[in-house]
Amino acid sequence: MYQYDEFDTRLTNERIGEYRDQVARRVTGDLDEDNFRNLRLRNGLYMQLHAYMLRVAIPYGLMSSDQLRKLAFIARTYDKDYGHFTTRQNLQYNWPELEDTPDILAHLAEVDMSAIQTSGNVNRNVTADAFAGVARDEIEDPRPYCEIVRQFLTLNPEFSWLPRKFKIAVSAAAEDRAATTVHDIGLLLIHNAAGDTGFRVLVGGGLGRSPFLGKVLRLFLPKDDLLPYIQAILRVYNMEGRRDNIFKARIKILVHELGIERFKDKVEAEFEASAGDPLFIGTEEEARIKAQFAAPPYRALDEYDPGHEALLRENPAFAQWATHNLAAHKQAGYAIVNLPLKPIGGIPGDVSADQMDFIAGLADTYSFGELRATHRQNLVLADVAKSDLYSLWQALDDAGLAPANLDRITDIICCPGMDYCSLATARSIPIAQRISERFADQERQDLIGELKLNISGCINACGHHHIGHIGLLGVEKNGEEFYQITVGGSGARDADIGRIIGPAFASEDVVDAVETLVDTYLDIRAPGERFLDTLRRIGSEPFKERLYATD
Amino acid sequence: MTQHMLTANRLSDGAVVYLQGGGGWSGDIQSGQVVAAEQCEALEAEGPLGMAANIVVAPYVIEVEGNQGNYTPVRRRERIRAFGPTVVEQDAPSSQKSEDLNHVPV
Repeated sequence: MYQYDEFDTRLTNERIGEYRDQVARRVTGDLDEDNFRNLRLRNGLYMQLHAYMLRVAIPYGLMSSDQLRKLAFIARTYDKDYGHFTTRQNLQYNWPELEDTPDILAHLAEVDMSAIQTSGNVNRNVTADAFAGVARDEIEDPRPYCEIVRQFLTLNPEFSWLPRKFKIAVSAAAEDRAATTVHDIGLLLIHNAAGDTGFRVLVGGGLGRSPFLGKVLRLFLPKDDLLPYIQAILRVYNMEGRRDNIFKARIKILVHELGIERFKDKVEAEFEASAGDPLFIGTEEEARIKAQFAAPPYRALDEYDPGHEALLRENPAFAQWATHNLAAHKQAGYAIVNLPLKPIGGIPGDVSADQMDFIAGLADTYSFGELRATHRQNLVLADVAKSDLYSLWQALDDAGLAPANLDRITDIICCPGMDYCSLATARSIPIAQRISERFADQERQDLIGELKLNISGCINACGHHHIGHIGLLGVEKNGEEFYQITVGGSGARDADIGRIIGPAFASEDVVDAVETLVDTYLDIRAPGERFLDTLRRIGSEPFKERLYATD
Repeated sequence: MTQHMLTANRLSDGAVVYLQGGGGWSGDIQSGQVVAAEQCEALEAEGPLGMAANIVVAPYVIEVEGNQGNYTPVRRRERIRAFGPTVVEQDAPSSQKSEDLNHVPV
């Protein structure tokens, strides 16, 4: 994985020094809150309902075991013994104290981490397929490009005051595990007809108040043009994005209002005009970065491991976990292991400091000391030999970290909601917990099959409710919490924005409503259909009839 | 009769605090100063003083109901601020230590 060079280290440490001085001046009053706010946000520090919240960047979700141990140390030393993984593959601390935050950032810098640009109207953490570099359905490792984009847009003075925040996701696989269609820029590494590698560039996707799927800006962009092309997009957005209305400031609104063709003309003109900028890939720097993502020293193994297969036959619980949580690895004899952070009745994405240390140890023992955070608020051990899977599972099971529920109805994406977030209009975690309890039965979850349920506590959609097969949006009506249900959304290859199915449900009724949707699906599905497939085949009307039946 | 309190987040740790009668700020809503609607303006004026003294940020007035020792904010958001997250705790991962469940520490 990428290691900071002298420039990264110097830049990060200089930034911490500046921030330490800003915090000191804030405490003495030399800086007032109005002036301090933008400065702290640029270092990932928010003010939430009960406390400050610090968001730590995990670039494209990739971290080392040492980094995870450092996150555990910070949770234990400066917070309340836990952290919360987010849909941007980041980690948030919910209870830091202001004067501790410079020290926290210094600890992060010791392991090549920071909170730079985890907030503010700048490019945020570049996210990626959590299986990047190991997925069998991938054409090339996208992580070097993620890193190149990260470096290009980190503290880039031209793009430090964009009209609004900006989010880029990158994938190189046939399946979209990075939700690239709902990002400001979605990049898909592809081959063209000539066999060259480049990017399909999507622009203007996003969720929130005005959800859009990204539109194709370039069917094929030669990879050497990646940075100049991103620069061109950002220049057009910087000049023409709306700064008069925060609700219309995202690039998706600009693309929507101009139309993709006019937007494209402007980007291409800017791209043409800036030809010759020394911003191309294909240099020694690219080679240096790529070398840092070299494959780990895999053992030469057969794809078929008879010992592993025997253990699967002998141990149903292990087999169940393996069926749900493993994915195909490009390297023979290895598997990708998903660690859902969704215990029944738990808080989606929360991990205690002790669990972080424990998982870091597992990464050292079984997966070359690396792991990934996913945009579905789970973790991944990406490089586990099949012969090690049983002992890994035993260790996870003993620690209560082996739920077999990946992509099941209890594998819920959930924002912090009104329990923590100052923007929320309703709670989301307690709803997730109730749904998880309702569908706790493993057999029932397996009967239901893949069902992605996402919950947001306000229209800003941090819980990605628009792209849940079932999405819940919490709203406040006359002081009471209600939940609007959307169905049919997806952030995967079959991406779509979910549609509101009807009037919202009161908090006490919403879990029953979800169950009615699920039961309706089970009653009418065709063999092999997922919830989403049935819904798309027959439409939402049968679901709606059952949901709003008056008897 | 509608009653009001002045609340804010404490600068040092972001904790929820309430203006007390003597001018200090407390993490316990039951220690907050309660005023009637007609005194709201005077209460609001205390906010900038707390800001200027670098004690609190983002002060604002909330509605509360109940009697002394039993005040409860009217709005759910403010009840959560006053009494802490409502999430169901598990042994692990723990979101909050058990002793904190009914009170946001300050």
